[in-house]
Amino acid sequence: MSKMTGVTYSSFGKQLQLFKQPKIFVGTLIIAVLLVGGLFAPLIAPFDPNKQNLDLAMLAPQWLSGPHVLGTDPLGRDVLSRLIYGARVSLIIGIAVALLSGFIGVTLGSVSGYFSGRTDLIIQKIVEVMWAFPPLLFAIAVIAFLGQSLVVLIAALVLQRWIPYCRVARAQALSLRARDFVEAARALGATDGRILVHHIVPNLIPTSLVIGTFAMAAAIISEASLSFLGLGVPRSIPTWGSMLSDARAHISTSWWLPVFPGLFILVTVLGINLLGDGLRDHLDPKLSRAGNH
Amino acid sequence: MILYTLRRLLAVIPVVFLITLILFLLIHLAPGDPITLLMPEDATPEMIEEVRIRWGLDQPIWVQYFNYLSLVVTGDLGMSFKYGDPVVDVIFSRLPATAELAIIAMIIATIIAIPLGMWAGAHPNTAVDYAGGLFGFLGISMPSFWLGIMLILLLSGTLNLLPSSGRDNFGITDAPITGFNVLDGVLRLNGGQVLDALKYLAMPALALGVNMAGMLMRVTRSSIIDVMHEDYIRTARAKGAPERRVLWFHGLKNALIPILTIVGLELGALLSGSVIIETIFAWPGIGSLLISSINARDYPLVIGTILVYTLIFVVINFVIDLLYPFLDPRVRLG
Repeated sequence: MSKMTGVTYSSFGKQLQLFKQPKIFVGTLIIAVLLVGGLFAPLIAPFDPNKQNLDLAMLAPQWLSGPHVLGTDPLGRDVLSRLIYGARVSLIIGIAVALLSGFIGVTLGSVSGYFSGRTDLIIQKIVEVMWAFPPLLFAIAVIAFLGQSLVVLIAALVLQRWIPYCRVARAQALSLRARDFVEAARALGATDGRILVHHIVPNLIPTSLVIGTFAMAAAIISEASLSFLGLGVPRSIPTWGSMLSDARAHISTSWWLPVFPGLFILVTVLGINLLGDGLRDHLDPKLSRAGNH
Repeated sequence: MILYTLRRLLAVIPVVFLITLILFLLIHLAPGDPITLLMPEDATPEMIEEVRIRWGLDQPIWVQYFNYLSLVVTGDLGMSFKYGDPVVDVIFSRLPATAELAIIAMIIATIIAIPLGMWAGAHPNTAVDYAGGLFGFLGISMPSFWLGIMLILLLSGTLNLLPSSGRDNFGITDAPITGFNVLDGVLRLNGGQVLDALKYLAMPALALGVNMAGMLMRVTRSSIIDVMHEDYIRTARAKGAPERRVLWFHGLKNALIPILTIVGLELGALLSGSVIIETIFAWPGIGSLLISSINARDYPLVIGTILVYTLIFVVINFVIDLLYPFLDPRVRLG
């Protein structure tokens, strides 16, 4: 028992060591603050994000001297409250896209690399074709034809985001299947399914986590771009991208309207990229050359 | 080399067919009758009949696909409702604007990123490296459309230095020679036109190029660090080549392969980015055309624009594949 606790403690201690790396620390801190903000938005946000008050329209930021810290928009809605609620959409989409595409990509990639042959050929052809579309354009096409909703948006992004996971998982599965421990499992009579689930996939998790951070960053930027173009989630939900889009008409008069939503996107994406980069350095410095976009 | 080219070409053709298949399926997955998508709202019965025959909508779906494919292969992408002209003509009239913007953005990104990445990579873990690293992080994390808006806020608004929208042609009414305003100005020996064209290009190109600059800087840095540990670098130093030549000739030459790969990938992101940057700066290219045609429900034009964008990306990657053997003779064997 004491031995087991010792093991848990030391591996927990090892995990804590990770946070001594500045990139991982800063990245995790930024994401944690956003997660808390998004989760508890109703408690934290000073105002209802959709409550209009035309008497208080277009107030400049009051900083600490008034209730509307970051000012109000042309409809008198509180900018800070809308930004806090906007974190929800960005994070939900970022996390959902990273997880779903990770699941699809790792599954197809490990199957593709492990079995090779015809399965591999078909999956690789799909990879090649989906990768041939410029990233955001495919999502634009899907949304233009299938209409706007949260589900279509996430599906449109996942349809391309699983590719980087799949490529890396395939390459790793190809080399893993020749390793001794896999041979040993096979000699003991393990089925292909069991080998994949118990021996191949667990080894793909660390790299997939790194790819996942970049997928999340890319999904958040894509969502903001699509909302900016009016092709994102429905207008009634405040998002950073749609706030920027609304701000375009007021650039010359109200600087705070375009500045803050963009800063939130930049800091969020920066935080996720820092975390991903830190994890990658930690896992394998060589990985830093794997292409991702 | 010819064999290699042919083999790459043979690999590309099925991809192009599958791209058209996916776009075709999207039209059929759309809710409602495809005919309502492919027709303007005030279509007459004759027009509906024409579209029905053109797309063969009463026939099995695979016959419809081959009908569609045979039209696409001959360059017939249908008529735009909004402009009343063939989709192909509308797209080609606006293609030079997008190409010019993308090329200038790429040049800006390369000019900033390669020297910065080389400099940082040649002095790892120094102040220069950390400053470069910060630039790289900001570059890859920057929402390009926000940078565009910030540039407008600062350079057009506060400082009133640059025009915030459009693509002026310096009051020149002659037919364009190449369609590239900068190049046309050079060909006409008209310095004013070149300067004017560059003024309009500066902000959108900078905004569009920022992500590529960040990514390119990071890759240049890491690949130059790898390369500088190789034996041939030691040999070059040993034979007395000056450090500058070692870095910029032997180093850069061998670091170019990962750089080229990233350029290929990032050009896809650049093409996607042009859609949003052109919308912000009212740049008359095919990116703003795509968004305005989606808003106008001009679906033949939507499909045509997406198809052209994707084909451009396919061609770029094909060309990059062809460049590899020149940089690395080992590729020819593979």
